[in-house]
Amino acid sequence: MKTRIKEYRARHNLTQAQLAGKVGVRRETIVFLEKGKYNPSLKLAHDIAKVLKGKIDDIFIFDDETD
Amino acid sequence: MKIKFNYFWGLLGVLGFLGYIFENQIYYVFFAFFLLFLVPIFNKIGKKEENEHSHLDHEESENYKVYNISIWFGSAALMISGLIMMATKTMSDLLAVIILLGITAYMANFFTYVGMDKKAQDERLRKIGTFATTYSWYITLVFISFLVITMYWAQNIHNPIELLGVTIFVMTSTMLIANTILSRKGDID
Repeated sequence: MKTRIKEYRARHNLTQAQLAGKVGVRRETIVFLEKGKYNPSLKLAHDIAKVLKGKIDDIFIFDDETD
Repeated sequence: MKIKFNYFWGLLGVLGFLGYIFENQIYYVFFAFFLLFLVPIFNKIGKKEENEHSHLDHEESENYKVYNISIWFGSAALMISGLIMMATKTMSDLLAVIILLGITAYMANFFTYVGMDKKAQDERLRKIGTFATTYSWYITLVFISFLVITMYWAQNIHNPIELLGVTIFVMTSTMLIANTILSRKGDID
């Protein structure tokens, strides 16, 4: 799984800690999400997409061949 | 400067003070732990004074570190006690106090450590914590079951204290190892 959280975060001028605070997780969770090492729940993905004002499909890219 | 009162630290402090009143040296262990648990609090306050505009998330992260330290202390106390019980096959007052401190530290912070605290829920920590706890329970069950079977077949019945020491050691160490590995990996997959 790849994510474009970093790109969206930069657009909205948000730090990892600020985004983590807005969606109710720890900063480390955002770090692992950006690295593509953590598969979020649907609720977390939805919350992140809502905060970053994007679509889940745009922010979280699931590669069918690898996942 | 605002210091939040924590009942766990308060209890340790009171027990340490009782040691002075009753002139019982065993109680001083409580006071030593009380002082040790104060260190992260003062570090946190010092950092706050350095940066007045520190973000709330930073505070939460620091809180988690305190819980982490507490769990490591608790685990170390339980694992050392378990090893001593396995080696000596006897209990003592000091060992009972160390186990009590270890399990108190565990009970006070376990649910925060595994991300199940209602105030600070984090789905990744909860996922990892649940997985690590399940693994720990499973390994302990299998280990103890095989130990009991082999003991019976070999007609080498061990001392109950030794067996309790093994249980405490295996359960604590597997939980700590599994949670640490998964936390560094990021996810359970």
